[in-house]
Amino acid sequence: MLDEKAQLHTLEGVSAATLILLVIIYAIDATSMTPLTSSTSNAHVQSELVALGQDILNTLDYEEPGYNSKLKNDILNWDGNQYIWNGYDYILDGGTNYLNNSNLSSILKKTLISQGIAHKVEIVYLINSSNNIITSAPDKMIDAGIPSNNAVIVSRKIVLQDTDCTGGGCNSGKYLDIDPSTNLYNIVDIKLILWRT
Amino acid sequence: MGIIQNNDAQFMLLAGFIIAIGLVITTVMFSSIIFEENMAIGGGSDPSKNELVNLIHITKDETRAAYNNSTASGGGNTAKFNNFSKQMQYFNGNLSKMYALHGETVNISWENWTNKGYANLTDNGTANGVSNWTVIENVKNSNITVDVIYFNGAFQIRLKNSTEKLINITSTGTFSFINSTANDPYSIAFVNGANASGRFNMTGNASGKQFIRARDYVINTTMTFSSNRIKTILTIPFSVPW
Amino acid sequence: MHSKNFLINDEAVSISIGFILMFSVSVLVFTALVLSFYSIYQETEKSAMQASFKIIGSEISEKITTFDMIVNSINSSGGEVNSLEYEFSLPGSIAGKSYTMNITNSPYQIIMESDNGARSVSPFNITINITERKIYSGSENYKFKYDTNNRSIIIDED
Repeated sequence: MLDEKAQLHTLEGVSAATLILLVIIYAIDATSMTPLTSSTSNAHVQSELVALGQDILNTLDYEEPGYNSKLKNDILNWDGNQYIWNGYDYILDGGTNYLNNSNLSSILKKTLISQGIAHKVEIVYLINSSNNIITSAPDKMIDAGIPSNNAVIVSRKIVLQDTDCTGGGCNSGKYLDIDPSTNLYNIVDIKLILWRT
Repeated sequence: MGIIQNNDAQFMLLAGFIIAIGLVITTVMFSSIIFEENMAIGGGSDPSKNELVNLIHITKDETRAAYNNSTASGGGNTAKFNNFSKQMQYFNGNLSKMYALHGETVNISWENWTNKGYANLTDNGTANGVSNWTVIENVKNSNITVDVIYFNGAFQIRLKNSTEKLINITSTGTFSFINSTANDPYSIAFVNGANASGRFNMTGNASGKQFIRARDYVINTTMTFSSNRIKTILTIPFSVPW
Repeated sequence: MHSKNFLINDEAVSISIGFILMFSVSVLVFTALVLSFYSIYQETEKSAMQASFKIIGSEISEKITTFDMIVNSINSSGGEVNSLEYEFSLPGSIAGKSYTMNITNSPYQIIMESDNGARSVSPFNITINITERKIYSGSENYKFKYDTNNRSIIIDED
């Protein structure tokens, strides 16, 4: 019963079996990951986010002759402060005011928040720096931290006239008149940064 | 026999090696095919397309705003055009700075509209535009003023709700019509608009709020846009003031 | 003398020749195995190239369609396209081999072929004309240009 012959036999059998097993494991591991495997860093996900962001901005920027678009009204009414999402609404960073009367925030709540897409809204405008007109540093309207590597940016430019800013518009005091001699007030670039977490 | 001299099971090991190598080769091949076929298709659409559309949109808005501002300030045609050019020049310079942030260059130029004839009453103001077009729908009351400068055949203004009213215009001159309904909103359309050119101005109430549709001229504006992938020069007629 | 048992006969057995025989048989078997996989490898290279051709073909047809759409939307609003250039790039070689891309006029198709028989056809649909062109892989950057006189698309090297 306690046969001591064929020890090497057994050893060979075991090593052959182990070799085959390792190869099978390598095979399964190598074929499972492709660029289209679902993950958050997928090229299709990025193009979807670009289409979604662009649609949001296009919808908000529709205007009829004689009226401002909703996006333009939001930019004029912005008070210049940063807002963050507290799970219920966009609240002032370090304060208690909510982002009210904002068409942008209501669309973002319905589309991006409900799908769990993280987003940031930044505004870039022109400033006068020692008699040169240059673009400002990006100013955050809605902040959500640092984007992931696969974030997408969609943007839209809006032109403000002097007549838009009278009567209490241009609430933040950040956009200044870069050309007092004509009706042109400022040019604003609104950037929407989207990423999946 | 010692362990080192044992010659049995060589074929078993050989068979093991053969199977292992066969599996590795098959795996690498299949993996490369599957990888290749599942490669991400394209990179989505080119973002420059949206930037181009945005550029056309804001240039149109700025042309209209500059025209409105220059005519409001009064003065002769030369003064108006200088005012218009000044604002457009400033706009052009500052717009380039904004677009440079995205790695694109833009340039805008425009024509002198003071000596130009008035626009046709077609949908885009050019002679090739659509002759029969609806200006606005769902109107409760309206005040229409049409100033015909050049006349080449009769054209009509059609007010249509449950009934249809056709206003026939058969000569040059300034015509004014005021209409309103109680419960039956109507639409305003031009018929055979290519036969005449001039100005029009419509104000009133539609869809629950005030509206204005007006055209004096059509200003051909040339936009140059170049980005990483697209370089283009376009000339588009913009109807001013609205 | 005659041995009684053929199976246990150990005369004229040399260990080194035994080893050489074993070794050469193993090598022959191994080579035959690898050669048998070679033809399968060629087949998979062809199908991998075909998959790449399909992807590149659909990318280029999407760019042509975008070009056509820009021209048409400007023309329909009464404007004029004075010039339009749209750049695109093709890989220098696919799976280490060169290939050709043929864009034809009627029907509107992009045919990509290579020497080893891989071939794919991608159709597209435009309203303006396109000048037929056969592109050989190598120079990587090309562009679509709008010919205003003939209202057609020309393909040019960059």
